[in-house]
Amino acid sequence: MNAHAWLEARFTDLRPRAIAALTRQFRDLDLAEEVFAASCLRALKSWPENGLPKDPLAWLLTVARNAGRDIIRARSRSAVIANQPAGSHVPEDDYIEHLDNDGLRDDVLRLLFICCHPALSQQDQSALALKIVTGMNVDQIARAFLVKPKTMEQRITRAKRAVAQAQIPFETPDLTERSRRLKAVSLMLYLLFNEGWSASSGEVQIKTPLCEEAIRLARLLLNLFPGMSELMGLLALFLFQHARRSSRLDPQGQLVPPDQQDQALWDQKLITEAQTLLAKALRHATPGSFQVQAAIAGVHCAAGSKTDWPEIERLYAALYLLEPSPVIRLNQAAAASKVRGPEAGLQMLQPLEDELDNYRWFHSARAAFHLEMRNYKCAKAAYERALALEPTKAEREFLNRKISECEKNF
Amino acid sequence: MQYSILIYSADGVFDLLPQEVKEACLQKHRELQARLTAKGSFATAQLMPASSSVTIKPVADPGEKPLVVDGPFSETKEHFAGFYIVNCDTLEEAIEYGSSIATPDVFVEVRPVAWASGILAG
Repeated sequence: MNAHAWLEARFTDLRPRAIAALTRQFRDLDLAEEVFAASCLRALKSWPENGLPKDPLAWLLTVARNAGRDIIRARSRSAVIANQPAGSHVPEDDYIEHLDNDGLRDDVLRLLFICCHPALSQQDQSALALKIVTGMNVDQIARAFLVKPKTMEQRITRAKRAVAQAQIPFETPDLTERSRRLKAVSLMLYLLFNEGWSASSGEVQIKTPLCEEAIRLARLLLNLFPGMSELMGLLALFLFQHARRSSRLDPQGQLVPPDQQDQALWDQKLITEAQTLLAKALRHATPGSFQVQAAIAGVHCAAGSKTDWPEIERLYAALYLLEPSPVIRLNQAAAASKVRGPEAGLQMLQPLEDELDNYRWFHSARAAFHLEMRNYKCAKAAYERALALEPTKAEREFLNRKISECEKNF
Repeated sequence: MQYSILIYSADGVFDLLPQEVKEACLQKHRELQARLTAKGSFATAQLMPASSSVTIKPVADPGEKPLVVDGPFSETKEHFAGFYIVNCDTLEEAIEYGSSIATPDVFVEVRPVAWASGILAG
């Protein structure tokens, strides 16, 4: 068995916590990354010889901290180093046995929160989190976002510079601040997953690695904050969606609606886990947007051929109360049309026309309602409007097929 | 005599392994299951990640409604991940089964079963 592969997996798993703790200690992301890499290198030699330490994370942190102190001392030989007493080295076998778990969870949250810096674009926030927290290399991130490695490298360097100046306090956050950070970080993960799930305008529909990393980070957060119902909802939402990854596109790369997907391809393990997480969240009786979205995704994942559209309509109505946005209303209208016919859907769309005029899904939904009502001219016009709003390749092909379907009926 | 073979591992590490390493690991389990099938009856199960669990806290008196908290019982790095219940003639045999599924990332505990009932249906 490839021993290196196991150690690498272990390092990758421990990386977010390690980088978080080291960033807190050294207040320097680059140094944290550098000394973590150094400690992994040391572990590659030591662990196979001496066996896995009792607490691998504590071992890596001890070695990394020593390496960091050496580097700082070398950098400023004559200068007095504030807050960094040149204490004697802790021998590796004598590493700190008990990590402060409460401190660690706030460290990880802070590290992710640092990546959510408002000066960064949403994509750059995600890219930075992938680079620093999950440890993907620049080439992998570039490939995942479908940009050139050189471009991604520049963007990450710029992003790092921006966050280095951010003053995020290192004290333990109070409840309000912690919940503010959790919200910001959850939103970043949500957007990261969506970036992977539905490329906003690219040739590839599903960028799987982005979804997988978003799931990993959501799992990590939930492990650290096990009682947060919205984190359960967020992870459940990701898992419900991800479970259907193999059936979303047909062999020609066309999007398949959930109720027509091959359920044999769904990952039942993920669906069951998501259902349990959602059930756990509901016990808290603190509804939130992610929980409701997960519930909707869960209805689509329910076994059987008939989708429970009345339930979906109710859930969208609930979601609209939590988050009154026109896009949610649009989805509610789509569900309403399944329950009460396309007229009901069209009626709900009417008041959204101004706000969603540049949103291609608005026009394709409107087109679908008209098509169902056999208003072929109106349907074609709406599909054409959607086509003008930069759809992805798979969507473009779908829209073109629909347009010829309308024309055949003129 | 029945023995339990209890598997503890760090959640998430397995998922990060390259496909061929994962496959080699699963193959060991399939081989053990084939051997146990040939031998007679056994039971096995793999558990979901620990974050999907809830823990019911001990109650002070039996009439009290227990407190249910989110997450696994232990805060250790390794969580209970799955188990086998097998019929073995000797402890050595049970240890041999447990060793056959050992990987660099799991602890495998072998413990005799005091009492058992029920069926783990597939």
